[in-house]
Amino acid sequence: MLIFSVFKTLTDQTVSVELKNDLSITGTLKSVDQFLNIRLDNIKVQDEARHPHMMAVKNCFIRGSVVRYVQLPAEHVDTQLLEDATRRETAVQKR
Amino acid sequence: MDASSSGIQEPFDLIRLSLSERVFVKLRGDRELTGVLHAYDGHMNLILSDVEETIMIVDQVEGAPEGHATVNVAKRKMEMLFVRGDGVILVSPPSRT
Amino acid sequence: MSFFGFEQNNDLENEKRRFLEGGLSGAKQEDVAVYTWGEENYDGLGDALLEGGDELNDETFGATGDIGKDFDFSGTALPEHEKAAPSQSAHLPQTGQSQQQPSQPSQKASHLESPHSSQLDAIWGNKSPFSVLPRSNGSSRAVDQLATQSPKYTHKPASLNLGPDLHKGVHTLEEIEKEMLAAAAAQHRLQQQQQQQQQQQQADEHSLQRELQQLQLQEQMLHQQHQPASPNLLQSPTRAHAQRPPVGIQHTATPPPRMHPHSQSPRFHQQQQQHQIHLLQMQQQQQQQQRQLLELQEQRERQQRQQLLQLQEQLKLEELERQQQQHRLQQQQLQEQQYIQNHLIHQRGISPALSDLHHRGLSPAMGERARRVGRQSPAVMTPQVPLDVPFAQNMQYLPQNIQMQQRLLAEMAQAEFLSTMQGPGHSERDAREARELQEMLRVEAMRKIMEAERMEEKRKRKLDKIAHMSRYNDLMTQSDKDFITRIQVSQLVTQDPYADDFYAQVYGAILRSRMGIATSEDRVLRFGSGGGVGLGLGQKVPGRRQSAMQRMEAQVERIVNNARLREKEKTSLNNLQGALGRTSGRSYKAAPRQLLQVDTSNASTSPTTSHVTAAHISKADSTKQEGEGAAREAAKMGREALAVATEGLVRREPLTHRETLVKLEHLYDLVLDVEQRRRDQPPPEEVEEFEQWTTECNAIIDQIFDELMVSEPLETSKPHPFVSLITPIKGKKLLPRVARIFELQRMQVLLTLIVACFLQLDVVTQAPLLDTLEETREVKELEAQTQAFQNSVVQSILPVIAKAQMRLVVGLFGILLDECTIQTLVMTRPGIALLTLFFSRVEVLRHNVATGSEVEELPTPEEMQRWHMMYNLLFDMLRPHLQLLFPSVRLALQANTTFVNIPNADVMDQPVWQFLATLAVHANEEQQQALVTGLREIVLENVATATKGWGNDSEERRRLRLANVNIFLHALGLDSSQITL
Repeated sequence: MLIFSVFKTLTDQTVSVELKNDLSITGTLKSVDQFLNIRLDNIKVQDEARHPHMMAVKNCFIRGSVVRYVQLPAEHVDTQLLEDATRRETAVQKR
Repeated sequence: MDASSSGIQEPFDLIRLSLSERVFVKLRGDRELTGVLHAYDGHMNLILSDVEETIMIVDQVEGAPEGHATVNVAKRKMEMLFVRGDGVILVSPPSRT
Repeated sequence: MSFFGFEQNNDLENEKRRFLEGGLSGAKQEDVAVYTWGEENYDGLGDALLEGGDELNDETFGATGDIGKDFDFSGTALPEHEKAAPSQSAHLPQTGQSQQQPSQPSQKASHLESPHSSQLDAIWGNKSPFSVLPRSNGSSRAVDQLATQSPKYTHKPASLNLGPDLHKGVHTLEEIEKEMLAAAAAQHRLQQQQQQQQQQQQADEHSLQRELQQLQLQEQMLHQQHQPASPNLLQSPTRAHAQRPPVGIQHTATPPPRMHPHSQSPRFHQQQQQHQIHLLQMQQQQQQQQRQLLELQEQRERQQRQQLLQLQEQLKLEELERQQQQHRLQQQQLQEQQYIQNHLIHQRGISPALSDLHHRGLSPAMGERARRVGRQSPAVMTPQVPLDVPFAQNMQYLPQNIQMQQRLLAEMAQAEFLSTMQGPGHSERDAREARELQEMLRVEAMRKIMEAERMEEKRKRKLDKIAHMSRYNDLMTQSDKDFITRIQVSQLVTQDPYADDFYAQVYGAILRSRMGIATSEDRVLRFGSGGGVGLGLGQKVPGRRQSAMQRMEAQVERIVNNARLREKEKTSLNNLQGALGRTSGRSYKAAPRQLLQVDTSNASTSPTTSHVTAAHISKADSTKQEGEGAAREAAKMGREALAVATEGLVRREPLTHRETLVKLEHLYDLVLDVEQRRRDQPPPEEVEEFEQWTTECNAIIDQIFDELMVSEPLETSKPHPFVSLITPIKGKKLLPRVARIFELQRMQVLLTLIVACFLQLDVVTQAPLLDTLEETREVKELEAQTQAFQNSVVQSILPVIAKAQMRLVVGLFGILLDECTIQTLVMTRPGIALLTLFFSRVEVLRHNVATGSEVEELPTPEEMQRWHMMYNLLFDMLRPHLQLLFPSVRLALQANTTFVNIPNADVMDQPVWQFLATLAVHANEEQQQALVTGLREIVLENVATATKGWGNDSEERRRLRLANVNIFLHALGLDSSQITL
């Protein structure tokens, strides 16, 4: 839930999702769910030449399990709050 | 004060020690990361900042004897990165001198 | 035209012949057809329908002639009817009856008769002359007619008269009994006499009378059976056989044997039925004879009618009692009998009726009906309404449906039989019309059957579907469902909503409070009453969940408020820092205002000691000695402020990195705990709870203070454990949060320890690393650490220093001078920052002295004197290295270039300019001169580059550069504009 919580705060921000097949998609994060499935708008695929089939795609829904990385906008992430949230979550789990 | 062992009950406690510390992460697909750990969860999903990724690309040269493959190393930096836990092999504090 | 397997071509003729040859054979033939209708399986009937051969009917009946005014049955029909009445009298009550039936459709909705009869009703409409007749009791009306229109009705058989009368009295057993009682014994005797008389008079009729009685009895029994279910409905058939056969089609509306059990094959009773039929036919023949006789004996019969009725009633009652036990057994048979009787009567009765149609103008109505059928196909439309009812009561539907079809088929057959009964004398037109009627009826019937089948099919599918869907209905009780709902809700709603969604909630709250959105609480989580997470709006949540929601709401509100307060605090601190940074000659005006006036006299520094120290220092001593001595003394004071007992000193190895991390994580746990508790602070009104909360919080805060190891002796380890703790970034970041929960006194101890261990701090010891233009990982790391120190540690000690009294400042300054090498210190950002804080505070205190405000805070002259000594010492130490204070200068030296070329030099130098400004404020004239001399080069260079635009500096940078210089110059009472290049 922690990561889900973080992604929720990043909606309407621009993120880059790198998939396990090395496809990297940059777009506006529209929504995310508890499985970290991701919906992106206005997407742009890096190295489009290698993925011509993606050229016409303007938005997409990405299954969470195929994601390797998501590059986040650092200015919209409160790292200290993140750490606190992580500590809280581990504390809750331990209880 | 034998604090070294106190409070460590499970592996995740060790990762917790590295919160806001620089960590080394080994990933599937011959990838390694170093970055400051800001968040993790039970799936080993991580959020790192100031990340440097190292990708080992092993090129097995045709006809070359075993172990003579050339390894190309690609590096890149990312400011803030979410790493999906299913690719994580290990998380450790970077070796300190 | 053929129907139900009748001979195709000559069916009419054959039928007629057969009938003429003997009713039996015809009836037999009919039986087969009739009784197939009674069977459930009517499928294939439609297949058996044979079309064609109709053209022959024209031969038989002739072409359709001019109808004339036949269709005008609205106005003129009635008189015509009346005219025709004599021959039709029997049908009159019957028709009234059939019209009456649909008048109570709701009661009989479950009975099949409604679709058809209502249709008939619709067809006849209110134009029917009978619609104007009283509907309440058709039979009684018939009797009235009999009574009033005597001559016309004299030919009516006695049985007809009996029927209505019976109905009057026999509707219920109670009534019968009443009548019985009323009749009494005298009547009985009279009856006997009359009977004798009758017997004498009507010796030849005696057997007929008996037959009649028998019929009446049967009728009576039927009445008894059917009355409870639908008296009106059942009167008609029973009477039908007793009365004159009804007229044409409208009579077909009379119900078929609806009680007929469809499960029982009629053939089972065939033998018996045939016997009955024979009997009935004989009876009917006799009735006709009787009719003639009755006409002759009209007068006598009138006189005797009452007596006869009573007699018959009596007889029937007796018979009733006798047969009551047999009723159940006979029921089925009776129904069969009734059915057959009806049918036969129809066959017989309709033919004259139909023959009358033309004369009476009824046939136009039939033609009208046929046209209507053709136009609007009522068969398709009308069944809809009544069929809906069986849907609701679907169990009863099936047999009824079949019965309805049976009845329709019966109509067909009757209509058809009518034509067979038509003698050769009948006009072709009659036959033709009858045929048309039959055709119309057949089509209608087929439609109805198909429709019924379709509806049945639909209904079955629907039922199947419903049954399939409702297989697991009521598998769970309401409490089960509630339980599951609760589990689901508990997944979404936890005791601590921030455990799961902490980040998003707090981040959003902070963001909003930063943006100053007033209604931020509303936007956090809409837990509004009834709303709830994942629950539909307006959903009522039972008590427990409701209160959980409310708790959550309260928590959200609290955390947002806390975040906002925190934010406010932060911004106010920033303001303070800016004020200090811009310290100049007049900077004290912007210096932090003292919010708290804490009496620190209980600090261990005893005034006597300071007095002694002060006395110790000889004014004649050299400045340096003076300063050193003062510093040493002040340091002693400061250390004493730590209140550390050095006796129990145990030297230890410094904390390892890992130990530090473990401790820090534990500290974080504690801090988070306290922070959470503060969010959940109970209202002070609840004294007990509040006290308990306070105690618990204080216990945790004490633990935090202990675990921060601030009270450990200075010499415990090197670095001090506390320094180890604030070495990691998260350690530094912990301090502001700790500062929020610690009292001022604890913070003063903490501040003293930091100052005392200043040189042990990583950001100080490694600071020289920063004097490089390289961008190694270490440099970046240290830069981040330094930034964290400035933002966290300095931030948290700033308010402490801002509230410190002169004694504490002097003491801390003394420690700093004693412990540290000032030259090293001033070349670190933390050192510069700390010194700036001290000088600013002293300036504020000095100003207080000058203005006489904040009297309690006033520094003693001794303290002021010591401060000056230490300042002089510091100044002397700094004087040779003034230029090197600037990071840009150091970098330039390293890179062999001028500091102007150092990127970001102005930003880096800004704290130094600010520090020099505070230094200049405290400097005497000679010291100011020294400052100007020492920094002349740099000031000039900066001003020159800023004003003349040397290099490719941006406007922004030049302005900043000039501002930096001016801060310093203003402190000296100068301005950059005075400088002439």
